[in-house]
Amino acid sequence: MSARPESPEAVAEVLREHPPALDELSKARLERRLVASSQASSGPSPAPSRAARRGPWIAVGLGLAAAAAALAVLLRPGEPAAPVARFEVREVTSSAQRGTLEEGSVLPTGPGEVAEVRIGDSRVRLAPGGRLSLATLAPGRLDLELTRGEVRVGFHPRERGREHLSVTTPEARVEVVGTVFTVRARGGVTEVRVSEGTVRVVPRDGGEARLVRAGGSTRVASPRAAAAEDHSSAPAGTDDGSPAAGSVARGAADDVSPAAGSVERGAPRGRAGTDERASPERGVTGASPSGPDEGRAAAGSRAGSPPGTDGPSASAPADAPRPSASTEARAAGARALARARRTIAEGHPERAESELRRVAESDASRGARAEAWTLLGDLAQRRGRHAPAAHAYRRAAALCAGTMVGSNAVFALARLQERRLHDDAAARGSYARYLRDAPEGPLADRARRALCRLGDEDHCEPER
Amino acid sequence: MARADERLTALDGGLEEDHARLREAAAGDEAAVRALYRAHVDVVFRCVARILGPHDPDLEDVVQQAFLAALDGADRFDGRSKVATWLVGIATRRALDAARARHRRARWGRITEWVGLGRPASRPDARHDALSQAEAALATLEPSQRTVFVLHQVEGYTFKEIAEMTGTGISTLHARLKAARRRLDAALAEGAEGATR
Repeated sequence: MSARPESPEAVAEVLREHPPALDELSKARLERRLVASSQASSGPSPAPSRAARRGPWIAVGLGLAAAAAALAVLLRPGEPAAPVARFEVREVTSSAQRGTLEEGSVLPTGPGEVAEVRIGDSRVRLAPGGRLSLATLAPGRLDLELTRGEVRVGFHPRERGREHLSVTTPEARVEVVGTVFTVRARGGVTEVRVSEGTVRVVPRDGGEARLVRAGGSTRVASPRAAAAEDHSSAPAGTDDGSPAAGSVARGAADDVSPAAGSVERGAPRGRAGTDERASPERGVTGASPSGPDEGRAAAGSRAGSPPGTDGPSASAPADAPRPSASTEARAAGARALARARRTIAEGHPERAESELRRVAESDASRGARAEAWTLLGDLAQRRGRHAPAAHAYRRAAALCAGTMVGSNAVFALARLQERRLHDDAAARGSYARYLRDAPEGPLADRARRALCRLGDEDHCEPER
Repeated sequence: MARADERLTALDGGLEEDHARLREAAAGDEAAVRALYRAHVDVVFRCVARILGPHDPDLEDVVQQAFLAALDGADRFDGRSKVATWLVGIATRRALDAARARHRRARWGRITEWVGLGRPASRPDARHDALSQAEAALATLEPSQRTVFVLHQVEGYTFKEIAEMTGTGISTLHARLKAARRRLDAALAEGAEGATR
């Protein structure tokens, strides 16, 4: 039992010592609601506040209050109501169809069509040329079958462990706890990319399950597709071998690390690879860089599209593979970035600068632009132009906040502020921001040591 | 008391970056919306939770409304203050509205309780620790008093900043803080008496 506050100052002190904070799940849920609301510009406003809903009741008086109380008793959770799956299929420019789906319904999308299915708080977006069926639609259980195309799933259960969602493709079953991810099934290959949370991917031919964390991806191929890949020598992507952003279907073959042993054991003729390099906030190991430069190099190979920001790809159906204009712009950006990196490596940074600036201001992927800004920051810093360097790092951080590229830019900014600009307060802020974005990131220990060095005792190792 | 600016420095990667992020978020850039949210949700939530009370069921709604209002009104952000301060101002006004509505409803709540309908208003945490005592004392303040006490005494904003945030004159703020302190003293004394009985 702690001492009772005896004065207003003591009350303030106690309140300062115990700041109310959102738990991580609520924070993520609120972020999702905010993003959804901010992007639904023409749609209905977000869920009205309870305060707003309650206002009219008070005016109606005690009678209705009693009725409301009775209604609340009737609606108290007992037998959970069956969820309703509402869908909307639309072309790029206009809304075409909408309605509800029943268990067993099949939802196809044609070229140029995108379908969105909402079930409670969860949202599934089916890209053009896809085919999705609702195998199970029951309280606490949602099973989707993706026979072709790509779905992006945002699944956020109110209570973890009590609601389950899975996406099954011909090659794999993806089991979800609560996350945002994309599943693409095409040409005998299923690719899963995870933006938030963790999913479990189970090869359907008996291979062992594999966990894929935020920022990671995995592929499961049918034996036929694996054999075809073995004979294929058509890499897509950038000049330096890193895949072009957006060219997932082919380029991703280069993007993944060698197949995970556990999956290969279960699928001897298939191929499953996992990329767990990315997410700094998850601190996933594998090819964790040991410094910002190395981190950038690792992130650069997947600098293309951060999965959390792209939404469903507008790729054409399997039988008509044709890159969209956006894909081409992204690939061009990635190629230009690779050229610039090569030019820097060859010792001509001044020549790379204009190329980098073009990428930074182009329609290239967010990751490529962020990396271009980061490299511009490095070049400016090398020339002693510290203010433009800080500006460039900030642009990179703003473009890719929460990703490895963004977090590394924040760290580079912090180091610049500390060592060159001698602005300790700003450096503390930036190091703290790095730790907030990537508490388990590869540079987290260095950030903590820096904070300790800058006088933040909370981050100092206790003396033994 | 640490200055609000010092703490906000830790939240701002830099003014320029924050302004750019706000502009991008208002233009519908999802990553910028997320970045804006992640950079400021803690301070916004903290202020809202202290004004409404940490267990208020509307907390998340108010925080969300504050961010949406900021995105809608980003073009009105003149850059004179930090984005964090501006956001806290929006959140404070929203929280104050909600708290005043709650305050009005509380009168009806007492009537409905008296005639046997409705639930009694939630009591302060039964734990007799310093935090619940502080929260209980804070809960005795009127919303406008609580707001100025929280923003000035707890969060460290200056009266000038609070005046800009809430649109209230500085002399009024001084008067409210004085009244808040008087009421807190009374509540604390009453609590101490109750404890010794």
